[in-house]
Amino acid sequence: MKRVNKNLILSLHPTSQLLLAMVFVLLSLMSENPFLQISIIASVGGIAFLSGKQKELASWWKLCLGMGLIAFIINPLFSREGTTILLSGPFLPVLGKFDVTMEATAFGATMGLRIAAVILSFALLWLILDPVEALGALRKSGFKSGLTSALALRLVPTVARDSAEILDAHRARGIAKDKCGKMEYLKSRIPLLKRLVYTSLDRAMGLAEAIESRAYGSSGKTKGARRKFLPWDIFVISFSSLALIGGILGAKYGVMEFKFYPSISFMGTQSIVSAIALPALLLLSMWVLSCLWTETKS
Amino acid sequence: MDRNKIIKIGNLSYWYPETQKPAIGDINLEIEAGHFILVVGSSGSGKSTLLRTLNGLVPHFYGGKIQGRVLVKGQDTLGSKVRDLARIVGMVFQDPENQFVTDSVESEISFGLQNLSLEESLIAKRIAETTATLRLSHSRGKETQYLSGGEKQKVALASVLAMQPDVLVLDEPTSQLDPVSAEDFLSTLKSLNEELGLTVILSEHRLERCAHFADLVAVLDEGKLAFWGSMREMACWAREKPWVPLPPVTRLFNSFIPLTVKEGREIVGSIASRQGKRNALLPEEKNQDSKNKPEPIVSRNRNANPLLKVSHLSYSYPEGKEALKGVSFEIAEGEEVAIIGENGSGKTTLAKHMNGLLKPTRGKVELCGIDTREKDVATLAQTCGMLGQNPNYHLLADVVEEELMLTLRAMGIEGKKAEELLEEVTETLGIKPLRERNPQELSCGERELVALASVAVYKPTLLVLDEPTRGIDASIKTLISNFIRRYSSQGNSVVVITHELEFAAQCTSRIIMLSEGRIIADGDKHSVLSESLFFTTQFNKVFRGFKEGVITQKDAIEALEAMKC
Repeated sequence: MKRVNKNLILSLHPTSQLLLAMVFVLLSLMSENPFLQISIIASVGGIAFLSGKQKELASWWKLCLGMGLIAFIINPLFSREGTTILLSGPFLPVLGKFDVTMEATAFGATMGLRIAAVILSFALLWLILDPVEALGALRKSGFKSGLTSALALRLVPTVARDSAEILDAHRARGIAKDKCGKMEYLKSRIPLLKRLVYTSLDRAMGLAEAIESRAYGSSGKTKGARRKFLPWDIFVISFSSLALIGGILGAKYGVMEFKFYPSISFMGTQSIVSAIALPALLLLSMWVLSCLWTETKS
Repeated sequence: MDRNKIIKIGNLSYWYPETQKPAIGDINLEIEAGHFILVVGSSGSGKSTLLRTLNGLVPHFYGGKIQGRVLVKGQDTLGSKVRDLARIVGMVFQDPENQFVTDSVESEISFGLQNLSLEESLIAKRIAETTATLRLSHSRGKETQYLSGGEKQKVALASVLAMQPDVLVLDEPTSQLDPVSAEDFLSTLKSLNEELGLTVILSEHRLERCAHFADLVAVLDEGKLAFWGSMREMACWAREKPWVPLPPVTRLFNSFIPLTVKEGREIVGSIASRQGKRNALLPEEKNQDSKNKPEPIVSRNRNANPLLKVSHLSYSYPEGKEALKGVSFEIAEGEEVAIIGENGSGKTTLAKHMNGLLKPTRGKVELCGIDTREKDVATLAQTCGMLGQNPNYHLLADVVEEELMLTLRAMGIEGKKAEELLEEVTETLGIKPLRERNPQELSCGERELVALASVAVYKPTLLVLDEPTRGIDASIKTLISNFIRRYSSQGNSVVVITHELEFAAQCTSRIIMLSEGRIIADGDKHSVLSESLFFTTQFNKVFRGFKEGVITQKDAIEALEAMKC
């Protein structure tokens, strides 16, 4: 059974939802233009807002920030490319001369943004897609796979909560320590995995009982529960495909090109505008469609 | 065959795999269609096993050996598959988290209906009907993880009710709910029983909530059917059997057996009027009582150097939910404090600030004068021990003794001192015979005791217990209650988070009530519980208007004696 259609994005066919999110991922990988990455992040945020999932998407900021910062910090430290030296350091064995360049720093920042854009695009997909429907859409006899995936996905937050609670229980007993050496830290946490496995097995048993008690495995099963392909899906798929084609052409003809090495260069305003425009236009089309959808429904 | 008998159990015995002792033995029962049946008994008495025989989970899911026969609507459960029996028997389990298959309300309800191969239009109709009947319409579009505890259990009920079974079986469905949500859930069950003629079979520990609903009661003891009859007959039979759970008010009177607050009030009313007390003495008593009231309901500074000082504490979770809003209070050495309030009121969040598991967003928490933000949890644990809601989370070792030694070693206690402490805590909690056992093999109640021992063994000055009585029977509750009083009498402080107000009244002296992250009452247990309408004990409800300040059984007995004089 489908989720309640509160807005256009959530009421789309899983294929349309999948394509919409994947276009952002692909666009992000097509070019190293930082304006493209910023535009993708903003557009993904906008679509999350249209789907009412903005709060949930915002909760991913820590992961994005952490991963993005790693790229931002590591690249300038290890990259020896670039001509504008910001910081000159000593000669290090193996690594050579330790110089931090402006180009490497900018490239690291862009990679951080790209990581954030990809994470957020996948997060958006996670938030808007119903796994049972998605698997059902992909396979004709997809119920079992759909069920497996639904259970796995539903249990992800439960297992995360269980592991946090187990950790808290043993931090509170002084067994799992926070301030200690790395080895001791790891050593104090490994036994907790055993408890997590036991807890997960207990939950799995309970769940299996509940599923069995609700007639799972009966001969025959309602087939018509899959979401239908509606005209809205055609519009969304068309706009998403156009954005993707635009991205491919832009990358092929270097319209969005942005070079970091040996020194930062790009094709002026055209490069910035086209990079911002592609994701923004996709967001704009979703916004217009959402307004029309709401009007039709009311 | 009597067509009215929807369930017939004959000479039923069952052994779990690799066990010699039967979990249930020689059970004979016949249940009429449309009856509301209560199944009671202590932990491990065989309640859950008996309930699982009704939909075939025992023996089809669990394996093991079975003798005798179970007929449900004429269908032999031994010869039927669980999935076929699901059309006749719907089952709701203790923990809704363990029975949700999908992540949204509608898809959860539709799961069973799809398995029954119903048309999509019929599924939609059933969902609409069921959610409307259970007052869940507003939650239809929600994801299950965002529902309250009471709503989750209602969704679990809706997901089996939509399949339109003839018999509804529920295994301790309210054990994780606050009093108001539990009352709401059980009232819903009663109306389903009365209005739809649904046969309801309910296993419960807390009979004060549902004793008056039951047409018949089955009492199990060590797997045997010890009693089968009406609730009133059961109350007479069980008077001298402390292991049998009864509503608190039922054990109060010698010659009368009230089952409900209403009946209790009638008896107290008649005693009062017979003695001419109600009209003549009540105003005077009220004045007397208000003079005797220990303290007004305000936050108190009991001690110049409190053990725990919480000042203007606010806490917001990363996703933005503000769980605590400007909470301030102090706890002195030797105090026993209960924290009560509905599900989601911030009780656990508050408890997690006491040992530094959570750090304040705003405000301050000081443990023995140390700001919890400045120390790590392991350091704070030297002073504050905490038992979480799920005892299973605490159990790491393969032997009970080793489990307790883990804590002692983490606290730097070894050798003779460790042995002495281990001896003392196992003796006090009555788990000495379990010292060599594997915690995984213990009953739910025994595991709770072992988990409690694992946090109390090194005698932290402040012991925080988060819902220690969840899903356990009266005998274990008494053990925990006695332990708390003994522990605090040694100069330690105990904070108990609980939904069980009788338990709170029994083993604590002060009650803090939370609502939506704020303290709405803080004071002596008599004053706080006496002024509450719903969050109070059965004894208080019975004596309200006749004698103020009655909240425990001891108070009630004294009040009755005073009224009779």
